[in-house]
Amino acid sequence: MQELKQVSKACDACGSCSAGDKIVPMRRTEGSDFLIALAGNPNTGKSTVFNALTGMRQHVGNWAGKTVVREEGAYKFRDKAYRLVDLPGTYSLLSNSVDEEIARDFVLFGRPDCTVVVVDATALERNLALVLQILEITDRVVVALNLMDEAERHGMKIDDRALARDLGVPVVPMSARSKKGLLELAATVADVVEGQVALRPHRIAHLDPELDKAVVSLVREIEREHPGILNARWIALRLLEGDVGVENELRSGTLGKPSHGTLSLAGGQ
Amino acid sequence: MAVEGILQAAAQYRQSLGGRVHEAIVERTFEEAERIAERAVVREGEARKFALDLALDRVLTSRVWGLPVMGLMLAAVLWITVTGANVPSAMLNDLLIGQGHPWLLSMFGSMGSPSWVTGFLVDGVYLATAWVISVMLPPMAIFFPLFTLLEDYGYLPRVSFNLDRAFRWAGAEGKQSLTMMMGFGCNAAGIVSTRIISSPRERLIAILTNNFSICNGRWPTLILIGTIFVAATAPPAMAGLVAAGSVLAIAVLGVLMTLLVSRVLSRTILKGEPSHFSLELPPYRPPQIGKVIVRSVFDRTLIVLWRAVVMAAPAGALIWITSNIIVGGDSLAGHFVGWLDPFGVALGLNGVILAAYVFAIPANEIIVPTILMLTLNVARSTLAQQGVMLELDETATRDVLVNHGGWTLLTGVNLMLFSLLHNPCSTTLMTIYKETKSWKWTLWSALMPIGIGFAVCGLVALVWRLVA
Amino acid sequence: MSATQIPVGGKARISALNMVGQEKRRLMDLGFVPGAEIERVLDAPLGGTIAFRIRGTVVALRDNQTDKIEVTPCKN
Repeated sequence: MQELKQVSKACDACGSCSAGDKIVPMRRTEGSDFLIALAGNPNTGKSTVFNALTGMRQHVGNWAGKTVVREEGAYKFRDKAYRLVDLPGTYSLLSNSVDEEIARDFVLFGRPDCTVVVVDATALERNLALVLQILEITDRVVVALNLMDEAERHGMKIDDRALARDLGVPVVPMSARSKKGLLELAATVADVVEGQVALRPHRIAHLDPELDKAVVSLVREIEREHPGILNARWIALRLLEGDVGVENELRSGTLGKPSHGTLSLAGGQ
Repeated sequence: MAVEGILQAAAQYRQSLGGRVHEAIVERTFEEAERIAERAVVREGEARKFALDLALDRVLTSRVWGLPVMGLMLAAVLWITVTGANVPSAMLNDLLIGQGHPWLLSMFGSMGSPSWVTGFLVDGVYLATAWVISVMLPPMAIFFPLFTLLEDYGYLPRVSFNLDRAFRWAGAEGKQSLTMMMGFGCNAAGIVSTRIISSPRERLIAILTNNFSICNGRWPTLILIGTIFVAATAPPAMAGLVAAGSVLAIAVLGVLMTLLVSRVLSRTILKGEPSHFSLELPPYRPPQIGKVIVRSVFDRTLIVLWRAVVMAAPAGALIWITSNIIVGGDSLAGHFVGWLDPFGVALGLNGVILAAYVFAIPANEIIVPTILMLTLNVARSTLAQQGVMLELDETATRDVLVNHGGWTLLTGVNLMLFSLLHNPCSTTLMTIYKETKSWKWTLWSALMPIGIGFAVCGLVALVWRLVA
Repeated sequence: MSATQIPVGGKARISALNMVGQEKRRLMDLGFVPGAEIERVLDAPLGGTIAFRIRGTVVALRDNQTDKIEVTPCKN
């Protein structure tokens, strides 16, 4: 993984990280250069990460389901302005609860320049399910491996390099509560949005030739009807599952319309 | 139309794939997640992992210890808040009212302001605001940090877990136990916290019943009345315990009312499908205590100050005005009290109490001083100036209420009940409207508790008078 | 047997979810998927609600749901 090594070597060699790099919370959310989505399971410290980056003070509590609204904030890093959207915590993007639709629509159609998935290091298995789902949708993902201090406390050690290797996207170990790993996260996000990092997201092989055939054929139809649409494969899979939400959006023609105004200069995938 | 074509094609494929596409995909996803996680986690100290958490949970949710520990926790939080608030409240009272009030009076006097302006601003607006700050700020600044600490530590989902059966009986979502607990600090905060309940129907049940959690603003009233009336019936050695016991009894009654009314609501006007309950019990995470406390105290202070200025000040102004406008030989307030009196007495209360509750719609905290002031005014006592809210010590208070107001034990008990069963304060009502966007439900949330209050007080009065 | 019948402290492997629609999806999202191993760790003091360890997390469910989760016990 030469490209990933490049990032971390650059990090090691670059003395300017601690010298010049700073995350500066911004008041205004106008005039941002990049749009970043913050996703993750409930109760992973996502709001802590959000607060730390944007200087905002959402209340954080240790029980699942506290953040229910889409919060927005902004920060400046290396002279670029980043607009950060804190999505509601969700266990997956596939069920049809309101929270999950908000999160999913944003990642799918809101065209974030990068999606940061906050993962609870003490419950890796369950958290990775969401990461894998998101990787099916977009390449530009950074995994924020949070609560590392808690993992350590419970006697767990996590090999973040192996994780990054397997997932094909950068993994940043952190402990947002103690403000550890934030700079690395901002730097990694900056590198990803600037295209400095090669991303080879892990895609799940479904091992069912009939399913694959169906997907290919549907994708063809979908792309013909909506030329230039992103995520046709994802849509095809949802249609095959019988996802009512996606079906309705397809019918009403709202599929593919971003649910907010974005000033992003970069495109989707 | 091409879209229908796509949907039809998809439906066909779905059929031929046996309709298990979703399951298959999710299973594969988890398989992969498992595989990758396995490779990433070096399992050191596997036995240590979460063993402590589990041991703690075994105790906190056990058949024997679970509920008693919860009760103790609640009692402890209440006790720490009440005793911890005593000294700061007294200090604030001394500063703002004991010293501040006379100072302002003299300052206004020296500026030559007309007496009605001084009265309105200093005796009305300032006094109400100062009272609310001195009574509310210390308990809020103690309760909320404590609550937040428990929250951050991770204890609250365990409470939900323990009480889930009761809430299932009530036809409610398990998370309602959490919103109920939040209401013990402040009902407006409790309403906001109902956002964690996803089903709108169950959320509404939580909102409508939140007022049965006794917020910080009502504790002082309960404690005072409990002490001077209920405890007075007990031998002096037991007085403290009986007073505390009576307050706790009201709190528990509030919890029972929450469950009962939820059950009725879920079977009548808010009938519907129960949502599928699932609750994650996160690992215990020791919070950064210092940080939490500082932030919480700061936030709460701001909220109390805001509320004092926005809610209490106008209330104080209104009280002063109605007490000083004389029509037909008595002040407006006096007329109001007299008009309410027959109804009040039927409820085992009196006109003064009911009038005070009307004035106190903005803020429950001003009930006691308002009652004292109105009692003395109505009784034409020289102890009170018109419209000036005051505060006396316990013996003097009892003296005023019994001798000038004609209060009995029944009045005291019913006041405690009514303080549990009446309409939410205006801050809470505003919050309810903001969260539900519905006049209908806001009205319900105002009228339902007070309706129950009237019924219960009336019944108690009836039975009491028959028996006593 | 159903998940409700797992003895406290016992482990089992999920063989099937006897439910449909939203209910099923919700459970699967939490990790309750055929093939997954679950351990019954806590019972609520008033009964009726059970907490399981699944994929490194602890999730509580009501017995009307766990009745519908089919499992095969694990030999410890």
